[in-house]
Amino acid sequence: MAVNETPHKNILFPLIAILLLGLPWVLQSAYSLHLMIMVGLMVVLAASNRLVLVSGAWFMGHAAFYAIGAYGVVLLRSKAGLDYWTALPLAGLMASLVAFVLGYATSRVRGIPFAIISVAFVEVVRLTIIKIKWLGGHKALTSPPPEPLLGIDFSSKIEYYYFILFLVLITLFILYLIENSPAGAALKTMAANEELAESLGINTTRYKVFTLTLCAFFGGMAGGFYAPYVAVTGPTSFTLNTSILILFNVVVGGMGSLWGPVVGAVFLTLLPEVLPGQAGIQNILYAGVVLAVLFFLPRGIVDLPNRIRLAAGRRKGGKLA
Amino acid sequence: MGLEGPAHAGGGLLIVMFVLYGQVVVNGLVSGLIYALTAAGFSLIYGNAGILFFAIGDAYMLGAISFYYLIAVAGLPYPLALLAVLVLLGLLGVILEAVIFRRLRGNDLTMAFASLAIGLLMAGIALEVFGEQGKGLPSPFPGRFKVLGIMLTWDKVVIMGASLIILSGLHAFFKATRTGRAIRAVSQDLDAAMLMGVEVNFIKALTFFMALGVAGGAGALVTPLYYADVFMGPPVLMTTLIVVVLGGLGSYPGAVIGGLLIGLIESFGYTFIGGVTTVLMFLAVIALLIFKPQGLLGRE
Repeated sequence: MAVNETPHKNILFPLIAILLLGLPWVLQSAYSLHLMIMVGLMVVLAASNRLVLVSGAWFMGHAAFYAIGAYGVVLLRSKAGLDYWTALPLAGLMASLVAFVLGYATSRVRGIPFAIISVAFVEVVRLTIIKIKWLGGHKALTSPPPEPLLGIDFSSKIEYYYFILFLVLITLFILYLIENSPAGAALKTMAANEELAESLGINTTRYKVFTLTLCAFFGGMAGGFYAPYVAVTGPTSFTLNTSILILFNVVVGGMGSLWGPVVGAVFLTLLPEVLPGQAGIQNILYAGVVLAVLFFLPRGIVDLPNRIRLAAGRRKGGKLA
Repeated sequence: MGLEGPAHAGGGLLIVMFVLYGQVVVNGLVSGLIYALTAAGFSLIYGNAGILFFAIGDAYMLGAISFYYLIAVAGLPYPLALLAVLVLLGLLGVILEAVIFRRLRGNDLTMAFASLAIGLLMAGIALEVFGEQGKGLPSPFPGRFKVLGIMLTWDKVVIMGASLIILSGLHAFFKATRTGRAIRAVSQDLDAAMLMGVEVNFIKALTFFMALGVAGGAGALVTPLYYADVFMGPPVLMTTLIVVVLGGLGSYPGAVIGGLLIGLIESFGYTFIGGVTTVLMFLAVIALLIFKPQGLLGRE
């Protein structure tokens, strides 16, 4: 089957590239472009969250890194007077630094206790922002658009679209390299059995800290992108709900492959657009879809072609018999 | 004469402090008992089914909202409405266990995600039916009285009394009945319990019945004091997580003790240091889990 797919992929990738690059000219309304930008943002968040999940740690606190990135960029610009292009990587590094400390401190904690730590961590970050006026408090902060870079000025959604596309590609490229390196194999062993991994000489603490730190960097960058894009950023954007939404994107797409979060982000970002009704009905249907995927496609939507092929094969087999 | 003045003032100050602290203690006990109920629900599910049940806050919210309907729309008397909420939410728990969690058994992460989706589903239903606006109930037991200088309202007394009855009822059930002991057996060692002939599906369904029942009951109890509204779930979920970490994950007595302690800590904290209390509690939770992953009073 893998042999079969190769020629497809050779045509598929350039096609996707052309499609992604040309999208702003195809999409007529600013709103459709906005949706694509939100898809890209979610890909960065979900793909990086998945990296930690792959190592076997139930990390549910990505909203915290997202918040640190967003507030980092806003504060570094307004309080330290940095320009956006310096502030953005610095905000990513800030999130990484926090993740590094958190990762080391919690390296012995697994499973549900780790999940609760990550949930508490979201609350600590959110409440700290609310309680410290200097950081913004309850108020929403405004973030001006990025300074022009290489003559490109961020006056319309098109620039943001290419910017997030660039971030998505970098994120996926780095995650792809990790996954297909010895580190990727080590992570999978850890997820399957942490004791076994340790007895094989895998330094599980180092891998845990590494995945969390990298995950935080991407989350921070995503937050740094989000702040000027939406212009107004408040603590309500970074609640446990945000974390949960990111996780839904990972599991609905499929945790087993790097394409899972991509598929999940496209599917779940566009889903509310086709769902009828008000917020209540939308939430009901959205939750229903997530539950249905958990039930019938436990490996996510990326597993769907496989399932169909299997089902078709079974039918064929039945006829032969 | 010269000595009497300050001494008198000192005595007065003591009485004022006692009154103030007493009030803080009462408020802490009221919310502590409510947390004890939601944490007991959470711990039952965690202990018996190993599920990180995120929907406990939304079960609490649904309890409040259905209580509102049973009283304001259906006109049920207060005790009957409370009983109805316990049963209704309990049945919802049974349905969730039988339809969803039974089929996902063995996959802990998927079950946790499912509970997140169920929480979203419950919130969606509540939003659709009940609307965004919070709704209050008239106090069923109006009136107040003073004990030792502490002002008590009958509402608070009823909340404390009812939660104590529910909690001690559960306790007696675990200790004294065969089924109760079977529930504890399942939470201690599932395989051994199965070998002893414990009907695991029944026990799990019963666990969900009690868990969602008590959480819903907690929501019903606070409704006359506050409002029933769609957004009351997540904050209670967060406090419940603090409580179960303090009390030990999956421990029923730990949930009760932890609930009371957190209620008191919160009440004193808000009085003396303000909203920072919550940040400190979450930091304490992280620190506690790093050093004792099963919680302060939990077993390894």
